[in-house]
Amino acid sequence: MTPRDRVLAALAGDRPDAIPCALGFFQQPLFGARDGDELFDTDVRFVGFDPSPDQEDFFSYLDSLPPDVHVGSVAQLRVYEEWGSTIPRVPAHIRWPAAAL
Amino acid sequence: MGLYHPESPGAHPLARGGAIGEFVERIAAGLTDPRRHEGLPAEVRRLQDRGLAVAGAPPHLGGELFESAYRLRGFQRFMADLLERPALVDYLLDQLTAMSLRNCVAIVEAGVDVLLLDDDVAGSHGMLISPATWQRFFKPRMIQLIETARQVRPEVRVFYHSDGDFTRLTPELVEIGVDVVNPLAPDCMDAAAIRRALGPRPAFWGTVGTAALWDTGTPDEIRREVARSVAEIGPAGLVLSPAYDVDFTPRANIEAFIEAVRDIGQGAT
Repeated sequence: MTPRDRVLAALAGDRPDAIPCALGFFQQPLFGARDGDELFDTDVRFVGFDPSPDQEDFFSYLDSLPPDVHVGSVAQLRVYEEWGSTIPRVPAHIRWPAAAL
Repeated sequence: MGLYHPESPGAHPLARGGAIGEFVERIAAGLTDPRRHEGLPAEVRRLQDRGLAVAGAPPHLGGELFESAYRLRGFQRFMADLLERPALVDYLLDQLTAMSLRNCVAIVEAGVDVLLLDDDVAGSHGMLISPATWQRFFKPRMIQLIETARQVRPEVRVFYHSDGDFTRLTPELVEIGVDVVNPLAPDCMDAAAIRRALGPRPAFWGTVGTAALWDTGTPDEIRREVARSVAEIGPAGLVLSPAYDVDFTPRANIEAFIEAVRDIGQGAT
């Protein structure tokens, strides 16, 4: 059976030749890889809509954050921003309050 | 200082009911833009040609209906709406449903094997809303989404995710056509008891590990947890997956999960 056959059998309540697996239910970047399921060779891949072309400014903002700031999944943040459900962006002088010392 | 929290000031673009019409015009137009999924059929085919299962979700604000609505209105405000302003709730949910219908059709037309639907209607100790409230406001709209998807491709499998303990909903999820539920976190739900009560439908996707186990447990503990899940729930009707997000999980624990699935999952069938 292929991984796809196994997943479809499991979802039909049947017993495939091996129990399939995934790392969650959406594409998640892990350990520097864009797609954890690809990195660990699970049985499922996740797809969705492309980002809005209107969000380039937001991506630039995310890129401007220091690398040690954990902001969560970029995909999730993109969704929040697109739906207007986010607090105002943090100005640089607050992001790095001691930068001028 | 966080970038985002569901209850942050400014996080509720529909806190004023009067803004809903503007939302429909301004936000939904972008979220249903067909240019954003024109490449999807080719991507799905490419993955399926590699022998992989492909699952796809419509764009949503955390979830299709309840979760999107409360994130747009604010949690406390939307919970009050459900009691005091049912007409506003119906109007808002109708807009979200219309948008989700278009996007579910696009996802299913692209050929995915699994349509991912998502709505966190439960907390760790039970439902956030009563079953009666779910039946009044959300169930009919979920039926619309599922029936429409199946009109496009009858063979598409329907997946439903809610965090927390949604045990009370599982029989009705099966009734409306859900094939598989997720994540059945072992510290929230007793997946084995549901399997005993309902039989092979719905299938289960998840079941493995608490958040603490994934982030602070050892590889051996992860292997034992996979074995427990297979013994109690498998091997039929089961896709093994972490029941929590693993973005802070040590790599050794993910590797232990994959190895255990290969070893135990193959031996069990």
